[in-house]
Amino acid sequence: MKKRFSIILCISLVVSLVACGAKEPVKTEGGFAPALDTNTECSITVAGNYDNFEALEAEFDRFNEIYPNVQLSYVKLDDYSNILGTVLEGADGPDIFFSYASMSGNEKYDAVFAHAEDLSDAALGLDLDCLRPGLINHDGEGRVMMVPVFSRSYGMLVNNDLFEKEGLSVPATWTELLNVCEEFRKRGYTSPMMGYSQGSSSCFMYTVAYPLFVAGLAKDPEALALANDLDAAAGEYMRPALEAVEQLIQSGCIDLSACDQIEDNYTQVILRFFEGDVPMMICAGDTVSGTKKRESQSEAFTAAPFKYTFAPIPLTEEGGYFIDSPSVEFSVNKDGDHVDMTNEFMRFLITDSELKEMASVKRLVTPTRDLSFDAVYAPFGQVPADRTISPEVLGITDPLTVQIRIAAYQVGKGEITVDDAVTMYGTFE
Amino acid sequence: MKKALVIIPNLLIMGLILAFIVGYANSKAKESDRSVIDAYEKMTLTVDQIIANYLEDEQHLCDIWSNYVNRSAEAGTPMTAEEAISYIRKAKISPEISGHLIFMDDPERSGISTTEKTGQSGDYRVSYKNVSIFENLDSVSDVDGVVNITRAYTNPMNGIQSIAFMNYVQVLDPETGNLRTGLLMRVVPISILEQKLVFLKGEYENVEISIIDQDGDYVIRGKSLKNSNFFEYYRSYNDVSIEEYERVKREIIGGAGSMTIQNSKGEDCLISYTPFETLRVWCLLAYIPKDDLVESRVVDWLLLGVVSLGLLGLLIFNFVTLMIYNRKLAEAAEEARQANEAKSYFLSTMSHDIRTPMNAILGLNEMVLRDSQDEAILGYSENIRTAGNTLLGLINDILDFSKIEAGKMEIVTVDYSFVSVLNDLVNMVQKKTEDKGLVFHLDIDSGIPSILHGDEIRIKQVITNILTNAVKYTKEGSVTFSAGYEKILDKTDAVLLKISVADTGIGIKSEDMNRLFQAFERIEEKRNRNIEGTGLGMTIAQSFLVKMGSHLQVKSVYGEGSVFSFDLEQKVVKWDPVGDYEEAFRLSLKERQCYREKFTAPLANVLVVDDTPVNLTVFSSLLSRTKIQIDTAESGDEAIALYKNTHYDAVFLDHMMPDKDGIETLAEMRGLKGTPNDATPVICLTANAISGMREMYINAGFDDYMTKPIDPDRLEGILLQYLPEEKVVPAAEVPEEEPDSALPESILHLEAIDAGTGLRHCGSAEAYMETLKKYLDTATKNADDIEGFWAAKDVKNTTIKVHALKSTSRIIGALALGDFAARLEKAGDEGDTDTLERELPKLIAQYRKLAEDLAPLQVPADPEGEDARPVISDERLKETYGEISEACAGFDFDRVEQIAKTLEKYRIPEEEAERVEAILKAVDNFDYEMIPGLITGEE
Repeated sequence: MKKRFSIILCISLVVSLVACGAKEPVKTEGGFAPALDTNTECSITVAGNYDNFEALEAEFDRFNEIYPNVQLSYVKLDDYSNILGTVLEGADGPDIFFSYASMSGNEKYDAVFAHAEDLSDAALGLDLDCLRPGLINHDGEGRVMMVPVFSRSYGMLVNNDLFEKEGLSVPATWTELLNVCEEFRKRGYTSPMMGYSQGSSSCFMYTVAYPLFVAGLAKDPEALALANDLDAAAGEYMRPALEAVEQLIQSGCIDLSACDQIEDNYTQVILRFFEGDVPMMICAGDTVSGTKKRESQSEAFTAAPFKYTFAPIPLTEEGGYFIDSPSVEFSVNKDGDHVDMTNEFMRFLITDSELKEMASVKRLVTPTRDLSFDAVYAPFGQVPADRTISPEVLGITDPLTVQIRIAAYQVGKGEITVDDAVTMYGTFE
Repeated sequence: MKKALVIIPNLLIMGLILAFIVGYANSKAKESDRSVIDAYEKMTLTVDQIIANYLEDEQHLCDIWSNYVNRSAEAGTPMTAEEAISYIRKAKISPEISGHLIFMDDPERSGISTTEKTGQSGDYRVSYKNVSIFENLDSVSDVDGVVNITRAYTNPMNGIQSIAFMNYVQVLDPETGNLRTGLLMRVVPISILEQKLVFLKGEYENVEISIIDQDGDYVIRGKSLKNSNFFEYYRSYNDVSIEEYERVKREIIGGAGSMTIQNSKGEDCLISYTPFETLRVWCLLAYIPKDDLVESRVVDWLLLGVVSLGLLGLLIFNFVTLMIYNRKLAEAAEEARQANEAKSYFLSTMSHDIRTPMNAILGLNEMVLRDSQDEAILGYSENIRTAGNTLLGLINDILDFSKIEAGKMEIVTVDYSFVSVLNDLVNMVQKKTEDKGLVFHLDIDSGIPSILHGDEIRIKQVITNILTNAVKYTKEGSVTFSAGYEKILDKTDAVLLKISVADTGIGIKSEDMNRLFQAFERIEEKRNRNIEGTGLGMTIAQSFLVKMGSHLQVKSVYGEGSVFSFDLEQKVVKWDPVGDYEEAFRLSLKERQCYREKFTAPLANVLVVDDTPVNLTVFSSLLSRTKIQIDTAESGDEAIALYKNTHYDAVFLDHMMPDKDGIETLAEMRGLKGTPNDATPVICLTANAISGMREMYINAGFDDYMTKPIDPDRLEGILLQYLPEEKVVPAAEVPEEEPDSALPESILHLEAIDAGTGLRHCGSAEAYMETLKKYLDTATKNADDIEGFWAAKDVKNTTIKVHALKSTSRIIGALALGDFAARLEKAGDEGDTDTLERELPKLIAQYRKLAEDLAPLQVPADPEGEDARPVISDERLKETYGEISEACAGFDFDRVEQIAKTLEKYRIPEEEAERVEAILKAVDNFDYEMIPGLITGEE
C-alpha cells in the first residue's frame, strides 16, 4: 500500500512537472476550410455606423484562429450615410462596409454601390441559402450587393415569470391583449404595457403601428404604390394602425406618462423592463439585442432574475405579425486592397453557424432560417409564414416608414387625431 | 513503518524545498513583474509626455494660424474666410494635414477646407452638421499651452480618421462687412499620431496605445480594444460587480497606474494608464498582453523543474536503498523471531522439565517434613525445602521476566487480606533472617485497612524480592520491614500503601544505582558471587510496580545499608484496621505448629490424572490428612473411563501426557454427555508457567489452573474453592484429638514425658505411639553404645550418640532427658570429659529408667499376627542385591523398583533388616544413586 502510494506520488510529481511545459492545444475550425494561405498577412477594415460592434469583433477573433496574421478592425464613420461615398472614393477605403436596404435603389448611394461586389457570384462561395429568403435584396439586375448579418423586427418583451406569478397567459389575440391588460391593471399594474415615447425614433407607437400598416399594404399593391409615392390618399391605410395605438393608450394598456419617464430608446427601455414590474415592454428587436449585456448591469434583475421572451404584439384576432427586415447588411468593397481575403472572411461569416454565433454574442436577431436557437426569440419562430412580412421584399420604402412613424408618434402623444394623421399622410418629415 | 519514517520526511523535505523554490521564484517573479510593470508604467508616462508634447506642438501650430488671422483682424485688416484658408494652405507643410474654417453659428456648421473633397474636384466646402465632435467647444481657449482638441472622427472631406486642434478666429464676413467668429481646425490624421509611437515597437512589440476621454470613449483606439468605449469593453470581457466597475472607472480617470484585465479572448493583459498633464480630459492607455511582460518567469519554472527532478531522483534512490535495507532487516527480523520462538520453546520446555521433578522433590520433601520426627532429617528436609524454593524462585524470576519482555504481564486485581499478605511475607523473611542471625524488625501501622483490592500476588512478589534482597546482602545487623498508609485526599475509596524495607547491609555505590534495575545486572559481582540470584529481582519488582502505577525508590549509603520503598495506591474494601500486627505475629510464632490441614472432606471424591506415578503419590500424600477419597489415573483414557462412571467433586488433569494430553482428554470428557461429572470442575495441572498459559488453559475449557510443583497451601485452597460446601468440614470444626485420648494411661502418667509435646511433634497419637516404640526399641542398644564409647574414651562418638539421644528424647516429649543430653552434648563438644565422667552415668540411668517406664508398650507379637512370610535365604538376598546393583548401574530404575519390591515378600533377617529398609526407602524416594552405596555398606 505504502509502496503504491509512493509510486503514484512520484508519477504525479513527474506528470505535473511535465505538464508545466505543455502547450494548450491549438483550436481548429471544423466547418470552415480555408481557401487561402493561412499565413497571409494583411489588414481588413469594416466600416459602419455602430459605435461598437463587439459581435463582429468576436468573429474577427474566430477568423484569426484560422488566419492569425490577418488584422481585422472595425471603424465607426461619423456621418455615415454622407461620408460613405467619400470614404470609398479615398485611397484607404474600407474593405467591408455597412449597407442598408433603404440604400438600395437610392440614387444617393449609387456611387457607393459602384464600389460594391456582387455577393451572389458563385465563385465567392457564400452560403446565401442559410439566410431567410425574404431578407436577401436583389437589385434590378439580380445582383446581391449586400447580405444581412442581423435582422430586426417589432414586438414586445414579455416578463413570463410575472404572467405566471399572476396566473395569466401571454395574450395571443388583440382581445386577449386588452383583457390581460385589464387584469394587470386590476392587480395594481398601472401600465401593463410600456415603451419609449420621448422621441419618434423607435417609439412604441411606431412599433405598434408599423406592422399593422405594412400588413395592410401587403394585401393591397395599389395602396402600397400610393403609400410609397407618399400620396395623401394612402393616409387612410394608416387608420387601423393609428387606432390601435390610440386604443392601447385610451384603454389604459399603456400609461403614457409612465412611458415618458424612460429617457432613451435603448438602455433605459431595457433597464425599466428589468425592474420586473412591467408585464410587456414594446420595443424593436434591436433593443432586445441589448438585454443580455444589461442583465448584469441591472441591480433589480441581478437581485430577482426572471424569464423573458420577445414576442409579436397580437394586433389582430389572428395574432401578431413577424415583420422580418434586415438590420445591418454587409457589402464588400471590390476596390479594396485585399479583396480575396475580404471575400474569404465573408465566406467564413455568411454561414448558419457564424451568423448564429455572432447573433448570440449580443442577442441580436439572426438572419438565418432557424430562429429557435435563442429562447428569447423563439416566439417569432412560431409565427406562420402567411403572417411573416418582409418589407424589403414587399417594396416598402424608407419615406413610407417615416410617415407612419411620425403619424403614430404624434397620435400617440395626442398631438394630432387619427383623422388628422390620415389626412396629413405624405407631409410628415 | 520504517519505510514511512524515511519516505514521509523525504516527501516533506521535498515539499518544503519545492514550496520554498516556488515561493522564492514567485516572490522573485513578482519583484521582476513589478519592476517590469514599473518600467512599463514609466514608458506610459514617456509616451504620455511625447503625445502631450506632440499635441501641444500641433495646438501651437493651430494657434499660430489663428494668431496670424486674428492679428490681421486686430490690425484692422481682417481676412475673409477664403483669405484665411488661403494663408493656411500656404502655411501648412504636410499635405496630410488640412485646415478647416467653419462657422458654428451656421446651422450646417459649414465652412471651407484647405483641401478639396475626395472624388469631387474643386469642392472645398466642408460641413460638420452630422459630426458630433463639439461637445466641449465651450472650453476652447486661446490661452497658450491649452490644447483644444476633438476626439478622433471621420474627416468629412476625405473620410480619414482624424483629430482636430481648434482655436477661434475673427474673419471678415464679405456679405455684411462685419467680423465673424469662425472655428479654425487643424485636422491631423490619426495615423500621424500613431507614427509618433513607432519607437515603442522595439521594446514592446505588441503594445497598443489608446486615448480615451473622461467617458471612456476612444479618441484613439488600439486594435485589440473592442467596443467604442473602453469601460464598456472592460465590463464586457471582465466579470466584475457594478461597484468594481465604478471603482475602475474612477481609478483610470483619476490618476496614473496599471491594472490587469482580460481581453476579448480571455487573456490577461496589462493596461497602464495616465492622464495627460495638459489635457486633463483625456487619458492615455497602454495595452499589452501580460505574457509579453512576464516571459522571464520561464527561467524560474526551469529551475523548479530541475530541482524537482533532482529531489525525485533522490527520493527514488532513498526508496530503493530503503527497500534493500528493509529486505535485509526483514530477514534479520525473521531470524530474530525464530530465535525468540526458540527461546520461548526453551523456556516452556525448561519450565516443564524443571518443574516436573521439582514437584516430586518438594512434594515428597513436604511429606518428610510432615511425617519425620528425626530432627536431623527434618533439618535436612528443611534445607531441601529452602533450596527447592530458591530454585523455584530463580525459575519464576526468569519466567516473570520473559512475561514482562513479551508484554504479557497482566495485573489481576482481587480483594485480599493485608494481614494474610503480611503473614506470608513475615513468615518467609523471619525464617531467613533467623537462619542468617539477623534481627528482623516489623513496623506495621495498625490503622491499615484489613481488606484491600489489588494484585495481591504481584505485591507480595515485589515485597518478597525486596526483603529477600535485603537479607541476601546483609551479613549482620537487621532488616526492618515497614508498612504504613496515607489517605488520598480526592479518593474516598483508596489508600496509599507506603512500604519500605531497610537493611544494614552492604549498601550500593552511587555509581551503581543506575544498574540496579537493569536485567541480569548484579552489582559488585565479585564481592557477591556467592549470593544466589539471577539479577532479575529488582528489574521484575520495578516492572510490576510501574505496571501498578508506582515505582521503587532506593536510598543507600555504601557500607551502611539501603532503604527500598514504594508507595502504592490500593482500593479499600474493608476499612477495619489490621490492629497490632507485631503482637499478633509474636503470639503466632509461639503457637506455630507443624502442618495442619485446613479442612477435612472424607466424603469428597477427587480424580487426579498424571502420567508420572510419583506425582500421583505426592498429590495423594499431600491430601492424605484431608481424608479426601482420591482416585488416580496415569493416562487420559484411564481418566475418561473413570470419569464416565464415577462422580468426582473435582478433577485434576495433567497437561503434558503421552498419547492423549490434558487438553484432548478434557475435550473428550466435555464431549461426553450424561456422565456423573457434567458439572465437575476440571483443574489443569501443569509445569508450564510461562506467559499466556493461563489464558490458554481457560480458553481450552479448564476451570482453573495449578502449576507444579504443587504448593500444598494452594492445593488445599483450590479444593476449598471447588469442593461442595456440604462435604467440607473446616479444620476448626474437626474435633481436636485429645492429646491423651489414644495414648495408654501409662504414658500419660509418666513424669519424664510430656505427652502433649510429643503429640505435637509427631502430629498424631498413632505416629507418637509408633515413635515411642521405636525409641524404646533402640533405647537399650543406644545406652549400651554410649557406655561402650565412653568406656573406650571415644568422646566424639559418645557426643554423637548423646546428640541423637537429645533429639529423640525431645521428639517424644522427654524434655528433661533431652535437656540433660543437650548439656552433655555441649560438654562433649567442648571436650569437657570431667562433666561427662560425672554426669554421663546419670544420663544413662535416666535413659534406662525411661526405657523401663515405656516397656509396657513393647507388646509381644500376636501369634496369629506373626509374620507368615518366609525368611529370605542369604543366597537369595545376595542375588537380589546383585540384581539391584546391576539395574542401578544400567540406570534401569523401573527394574530397580521392581526387584526391590520383591524383597517385601520375605521376612528379612534382623542383621539385614535395616539395609533392606534403607534400600526400599531409597526406592520410594527415587534416591536410586544411594542404593549401590547402601548395598556395599559404604553409606
